[in-house]
Amino acid sequence: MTPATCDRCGADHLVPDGELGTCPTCGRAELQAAEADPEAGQPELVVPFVLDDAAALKAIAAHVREGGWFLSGDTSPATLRKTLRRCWWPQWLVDADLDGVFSLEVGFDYQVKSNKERFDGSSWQTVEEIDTRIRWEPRVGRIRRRLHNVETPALRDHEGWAKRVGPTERSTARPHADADLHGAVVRLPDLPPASAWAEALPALTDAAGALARSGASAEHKRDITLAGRWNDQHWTWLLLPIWTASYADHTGQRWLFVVNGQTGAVTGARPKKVALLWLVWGSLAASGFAASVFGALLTLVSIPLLTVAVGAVLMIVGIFLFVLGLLVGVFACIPLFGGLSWNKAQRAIQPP
Amino acid sequence: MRDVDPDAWTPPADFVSVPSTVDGVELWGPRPAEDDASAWARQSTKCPQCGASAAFDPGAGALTCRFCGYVQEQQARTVGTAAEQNEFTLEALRQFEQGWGVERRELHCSDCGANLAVEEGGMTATCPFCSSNHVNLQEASQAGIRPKFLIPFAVKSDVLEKNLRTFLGQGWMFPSSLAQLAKTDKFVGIYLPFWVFDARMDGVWRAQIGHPHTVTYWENGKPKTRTEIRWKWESGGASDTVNGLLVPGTTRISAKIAQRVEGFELDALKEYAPAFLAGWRAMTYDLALPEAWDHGRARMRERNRATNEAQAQRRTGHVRSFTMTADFEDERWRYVLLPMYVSAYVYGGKTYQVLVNGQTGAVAGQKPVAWWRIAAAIAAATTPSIFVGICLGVPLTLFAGIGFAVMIVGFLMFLGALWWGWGLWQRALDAESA
Ligand SMILES: [Zn+2]
Ligand SMILES: [Zn+2]
Repeated sequence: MTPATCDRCGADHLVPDGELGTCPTCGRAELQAAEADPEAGQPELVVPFVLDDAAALKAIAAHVREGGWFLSGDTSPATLRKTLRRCWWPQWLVDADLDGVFSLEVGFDYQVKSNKERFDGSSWQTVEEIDTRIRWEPRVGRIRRRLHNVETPALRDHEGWAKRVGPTERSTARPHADADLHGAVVRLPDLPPASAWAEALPALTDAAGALARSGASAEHKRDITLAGRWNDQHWTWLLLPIWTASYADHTGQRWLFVVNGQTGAVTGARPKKVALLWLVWGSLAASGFAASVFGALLTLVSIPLLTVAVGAVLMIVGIFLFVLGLLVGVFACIPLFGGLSWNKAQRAIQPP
Repeated sequence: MRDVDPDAWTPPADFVSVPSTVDGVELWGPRPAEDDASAWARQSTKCPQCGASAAFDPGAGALTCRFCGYVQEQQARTVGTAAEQNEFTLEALRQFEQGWGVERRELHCSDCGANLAVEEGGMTATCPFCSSNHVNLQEASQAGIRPKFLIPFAVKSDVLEKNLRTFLGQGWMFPSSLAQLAKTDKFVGIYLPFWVFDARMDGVWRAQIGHPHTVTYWENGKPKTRTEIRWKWESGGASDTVNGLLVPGTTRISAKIAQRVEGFELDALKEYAPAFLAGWRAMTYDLALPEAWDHGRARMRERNRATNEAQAQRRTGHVRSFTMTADFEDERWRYVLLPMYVSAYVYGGKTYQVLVNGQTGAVAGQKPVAWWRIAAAIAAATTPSIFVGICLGVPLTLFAGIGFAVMIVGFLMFLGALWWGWGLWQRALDAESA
């Protein structure tokens, strides 16, 4: 495989020899051959693909349909197929020894009897009520054990793309085979273990906290704090299955679709054609304006004719057209504003 | 995450290990409240100076030895109304339903080794063999029902005698020989079990409130007015908070008399210490928490009813079909020992009970009534009316209508005297009853 980098988004990849092509991470530039990083390490585990290429295109097509009218650019499966690439995105699994102490509060349910008394005018009746309350007690503890396979981001934009295509179920993970990598793009971690430790710590602490909580047998638990030392960390490079495809809108701006290769969840921007939005608004507003002007004139003309029945009819028609024209003018703004704010949201998915 | 040194870490001193369900996780929790009966009654009441049995002296407020004069100050904390309260947990109530602590038990004298049968409900005994005042409750009661707080005796025997004489000497309707009966040596100071209840009641009432209206009507062609009451359904609500309601935990004393002397100042509640009981008697309850709470609640809800009825009355003064609900909140209970001098004396072949509050010295009890004095008083009260009605009224009828007027006055005077006599009769009955 050949190391390749994208000058535009900076993502590093390993691509099949002789297949540089479009960057599968931003879809906006051609990949450039790069020097191999001697410290890059080796992937160990893969979560196998569930979706094949046809299923991935189908998932994107459904995502495009959800975008509604006036979409910009060619998002047909035939076009997308040209840029469709099978990718492996990285994630770290961290093992570490913890020697720590913690404190938490555990709550036990207990029941109390209360009374409601009714006075009917001569005597009292008692209604008993049972309330459940919680008795809180402090606990301190010591945790000394190795934590295994705590998921930690290996990509800086993990929070972005990876979160929108949803979680990947890790239970099917297995050691990778050559066939897994054949013809696929491997995206290299841009958070090496040294930088990823800061991200790993909260995840490890959460995992340790969950263990500590499950150690105490009580109905309720709260307010856990944990402190300790982590030793002997081991990082496993896990490959997550991802399909990506890109397309250009009518201005030439390129956009990327990312598909979770296991669940079929899709993320990606689908901007609408702004000129088309204005055109629709313009034609609706113009016809509304024309109708209301005509209606106003008709009303004016009808005033001297009011003595005749025709005059009354003309006036009613005139007022009706006037109001209708105003309404059309007002409602013409709805698709315009809707479309513009939609585009703003799409640009947040992948900034131009 | 803070960097602590796990090697240097140890759990807090008052924590004990608790089981964990996860490997590699150890847990500690607070040591369960010490429920060690021996710690509860372990203190020796022997005089450290001469070895005789010492007793708690209400005058000194300390454990004193009457042989050598040794005085041992009591260190027990005064907790007052901050004394720990309990909730009405099903767990606690269930324990009482199972009849805890009412079976007969044996006490063990750790001074001479004698085993003593204790009367049911007794908690303290003086060993008849060595006359030690050893307080030995550990076998006598179980964890759930041990009182944790008490008010020590504060009334000395001279005050007791004075108050008693005043009480027995009071009032003209009792035999004059009664005051001579005031003998304090017949009085036994007993720490009596009491339940102390706190609660809030949120009352909501509904009733018909009558609104007066002036109505004009015609009679014989003339306008007249009269006032009519129009009834409307209305509602309202008022809350009451009751703190420190006392219900005696024993049926051996009259609840009615107890209520008259139970003005205990709970601010003086102290943590239990065996020395307070040295030389005194104490009883465990025979009226368990659920029944006592029924009594307590009945008294509390009547108070809330009075508050709510008064509120309804304030609307217009006309109320009918009054109903209400009282919702109890924040119910708490305590089990305490309170000092009481108890005596029963025999007069004219009948037994009369007298209680003296061991903290305040208040006295209440039954008193025999000299019924001939009551009869004489009623006769004396009715005589003038009979005289007026018959001796004056009857002859005066000979002189036209004025005689009838005098007879009516006499009759009214007679009714008034009867009314007063009836009240006197009731008070006398009340004084004799328990
Ligand atoms: Zn790129
Ligand atoms: Zn002595």
